[in-house]
Amino acid sequence: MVVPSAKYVFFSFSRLTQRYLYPTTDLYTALGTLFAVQGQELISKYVDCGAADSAVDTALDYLNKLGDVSPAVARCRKYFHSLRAWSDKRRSPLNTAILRDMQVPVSIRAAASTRESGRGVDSDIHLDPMSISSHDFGENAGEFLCDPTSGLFLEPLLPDLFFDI
Amino acid sequence: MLTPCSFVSLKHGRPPAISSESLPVDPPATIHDDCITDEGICEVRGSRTPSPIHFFNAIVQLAHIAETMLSYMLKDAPWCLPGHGQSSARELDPIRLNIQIRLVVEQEGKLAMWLSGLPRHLQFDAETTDGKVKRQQKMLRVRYLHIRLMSHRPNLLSVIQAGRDKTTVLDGDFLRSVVMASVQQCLDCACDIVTMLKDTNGPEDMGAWWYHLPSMCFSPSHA
Repeated sequence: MVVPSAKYVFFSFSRLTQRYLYPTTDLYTALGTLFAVQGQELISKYVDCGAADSAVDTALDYLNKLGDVSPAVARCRKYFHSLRAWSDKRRSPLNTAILRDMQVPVSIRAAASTRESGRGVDSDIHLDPMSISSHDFGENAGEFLCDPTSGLFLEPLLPDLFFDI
Repeated sequence: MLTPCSFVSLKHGRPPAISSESLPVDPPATIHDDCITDEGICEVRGSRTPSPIHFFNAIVQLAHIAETMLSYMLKDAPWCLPGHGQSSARELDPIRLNIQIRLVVEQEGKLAMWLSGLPRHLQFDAETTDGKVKRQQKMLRVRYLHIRLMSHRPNLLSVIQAGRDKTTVLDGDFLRSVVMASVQQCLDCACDIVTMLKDTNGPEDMGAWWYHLPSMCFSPSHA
């Protein structure tokens, strides 16, 4: 039986730990900001948003490359991919009827659970508006606060993003 | 703990749990541990990598900048749990927007001072072959971009709110041009963060575990 040396174990643990602790949080913040400007007429009128689209692609590719090193990171990655699908559909000129009914995936848990239940990306962006409310989740406050990954976009600053739900 | 507290509080727009005002501590001396002896501080012999304490002090200074912004933002607006505050506090008006802009400009000044005060080896454009110093430069740059993004983000949210509410608050040329410049800066910072992380070789390129302590504690709630 081969017993790994203490040095091997230490370096393996170190590498694994670094993957867990990689500053994906900064990437999440950047991605959230980039998604926020997409499709904003007022902003695109005065600000050059061209770089934002390619940055979103780059960031999502990078999250894929980083891998699902933990359940929380996996859910965040799925969530941002569902945001991407939402954003693409929202900007599509052919889907004006769909746009009215589209719901931004405001919860990582919702995005992840719809995927896990076998529904596709389309399902991710049609969430039950009664179950998720960005402005008033008082009744569900305990639930949201218990699971920090679920309330990703429910912080005080970000509800402004949901301008046309 | 001061650093993660400040960064996370800034992201969530809530008061910091730890205030540096209540903990008046001088920064540690920027010397290597092995230069500290019972007799005192001995001289550094030969050329060696600058002490990592330079990096530590720079990170703490960034945390202080984040903290001062939070203190001002929340000075006249008591913080409440999301969904429990007064909705009127979120109404957009020119006065609030002007104050917000002033705050962002102040932050820009502080960040510019911080940048110019960085030790030469940690400057973003400093050439070095030392792997440790490179990692420190990258981490500092990501943190700098991040706090800059967070400083400008309130203006981005105000523009989105103005578009949603169809208010006339941004009809004035001056106010609109300043706010849009801030939004552009916010976007640029977000793009730069993505580029910075993309150009790294992976987690190993970004340094020791303790650089990422905030990520370890608060990762899931950081968008």
